Amino acid sequence: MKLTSILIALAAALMMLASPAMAEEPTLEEILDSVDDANRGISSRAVVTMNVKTNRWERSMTMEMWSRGEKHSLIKIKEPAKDAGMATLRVEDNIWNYLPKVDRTMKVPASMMSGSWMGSHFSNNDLVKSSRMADDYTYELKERPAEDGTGKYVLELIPKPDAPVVWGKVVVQVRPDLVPIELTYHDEDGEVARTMSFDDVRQVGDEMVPFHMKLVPADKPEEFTEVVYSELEFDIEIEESIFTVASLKR
Amino acid sequence: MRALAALLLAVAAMLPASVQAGRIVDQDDLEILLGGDVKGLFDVSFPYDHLLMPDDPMGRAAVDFRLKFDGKYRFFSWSVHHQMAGIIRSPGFGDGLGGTAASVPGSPFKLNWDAVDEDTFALNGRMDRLVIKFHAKHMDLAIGRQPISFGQGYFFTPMDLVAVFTPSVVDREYKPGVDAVRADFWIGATGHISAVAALVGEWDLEGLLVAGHGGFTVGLFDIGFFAAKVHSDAVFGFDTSGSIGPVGVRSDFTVTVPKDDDPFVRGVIGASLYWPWGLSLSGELYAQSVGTHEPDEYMDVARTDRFERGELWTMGHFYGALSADWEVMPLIHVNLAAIVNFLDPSLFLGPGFSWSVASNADLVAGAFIPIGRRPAEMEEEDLYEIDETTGMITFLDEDEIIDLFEPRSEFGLMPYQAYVQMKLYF
Repeated sequence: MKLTSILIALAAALMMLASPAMAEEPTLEEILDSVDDANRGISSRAVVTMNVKTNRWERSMTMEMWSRGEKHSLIKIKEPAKDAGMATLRVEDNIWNYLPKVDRTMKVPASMMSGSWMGSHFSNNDLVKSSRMADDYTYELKERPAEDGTGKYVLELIPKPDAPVVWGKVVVQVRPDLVPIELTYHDEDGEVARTMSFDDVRQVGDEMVPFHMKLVPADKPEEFTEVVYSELEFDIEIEESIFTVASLKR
Repeated sequence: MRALAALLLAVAAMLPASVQAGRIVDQDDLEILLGGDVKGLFDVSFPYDHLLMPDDPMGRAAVDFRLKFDGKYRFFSWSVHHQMAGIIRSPGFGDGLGGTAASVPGSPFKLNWDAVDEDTFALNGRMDRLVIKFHAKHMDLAIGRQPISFGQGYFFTPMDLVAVFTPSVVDREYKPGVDAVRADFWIGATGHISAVAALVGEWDLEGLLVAGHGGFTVGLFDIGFFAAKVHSDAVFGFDTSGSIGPVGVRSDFTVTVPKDDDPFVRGVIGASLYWPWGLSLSGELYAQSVGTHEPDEYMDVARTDRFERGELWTMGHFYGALSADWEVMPLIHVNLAAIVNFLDPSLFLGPGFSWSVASNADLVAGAFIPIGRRPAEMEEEDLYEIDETTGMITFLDEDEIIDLFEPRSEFGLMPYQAYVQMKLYF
């Protein structure tokens, strides 16, 4: 159950990857928002695979997801076989899991949204955070793109004293079209703890979207967790009935 | 038939190593999946010292193979699962399909086969899912063999009247299918009215379960209402589930009105909490007015229809349950379940371990440890009568022996048990 609950949050994280490009010079808040959750509010459908690789084991999960805004989402697991058919629905602040093998729909409490996913390098806070970087950090622009459009934005973020974050510093790199490039997380001693990179940027409708996100812990550079889109659609017509308890069972 | 079934089972046991089944077709309108699982179970029961218990531990090895053919096409979907099992066991140890699942209610549509049914070896199969579903915008209709569940309880399920899981069921992954017609009417995003007619006995009104459940969401809470007629009982109830802060809470309450007996009530309240470092706790309190608080009456309760059908498995009045699950390492969980009968008092402990060996393979192991007063001792002389005039010995029949049997606690009736199960999915 924990797994599927995390998927809801994962959906939000994945949707935030699809940042809409902005034509004018963005503010720093807009840059951070583009990394955080810029695509919330737009309907989407995606097929996503998450791969976890460590020195001792590998795991993979494929799921189909629909979302509308940040409060409506439906996730159905396609692979692995043992979890196929499990589904998670979020409608406003209510979350349900459906377990087809026993025909049970179960309400998910808020605390189940915490915890990690199968030892992936994503902490749960990465996936479930409802906070925004612009709120939790003070930020400073360290680098901006050249006028010819080359280069990138580089922002250095320091957590506010009362912010619920574990990092000592975060360095955010974003393309001029507001597609995230890399986030580097530093611990409280200033050492790099992990790096999240974005690549395989493709055009989806009017948006430039990274189809691949990879998180690598600094102390185990050969290990990683990656998220790969195989299908992604934006601004599509999604029937109202998708975000209903009925869809969990269909 | 026997040889063919054995061959099929043997082939099934090798399938996951060589077959990558899955989506045969995955298109917008059409989706066809072929897959299944193979499970190997080894369990041992350690009887306690009693005249009616075996002298030696008993063991069982079972291979369960489930072949699944599921799909969707436009407005309908289907699910066909055939399950077959091969079991080698000590005489008298378990029966049924695999001996590991919830009891399957009777049905006039057998859809099962027994190639071998001997004391020490069984080879059998059952169609566990055979259902077609039609989906309309605000309604789903499912006809055929399918799992049926109602209620919110995890350990105690007063609203669940068919194929109920008991604590000693090792494998709870699939709820057995029953022959039913089910209609779900969807109201808004979260409301529903469901109606079910299921065959849980012979082909007559007595063997028919008719149930209705309606539910809606208020704030963070789901609220449901339930009414059913099962065998000769009428059952009414309501259920809730939701969150209070980070804590998930749930409850089920039912009133059962038997045709020829006094009504009784059953109720459960529960809570669950999850911590980010991998620990989850879930607890429930359960009460029922059916049953007894006198342990020496347990065998009378156990011989009532509802217990024999598997609708009830608790014989006392007040219970508590607690389960803890801890993710020790990313792929390894340890867990402990405890169920207590407060009035005996007796305790049922279920420590367990699970390891995700591979993406499609799990290894689980565990034990059932009952703690409670064992039944009163019996002597061999209790089992027969001697006619003083003729000297003829007459052995008591089963019912007479059970009448003499004196439980002294509920969970003290159970033997110790240990199991290991390997699950492979394809």
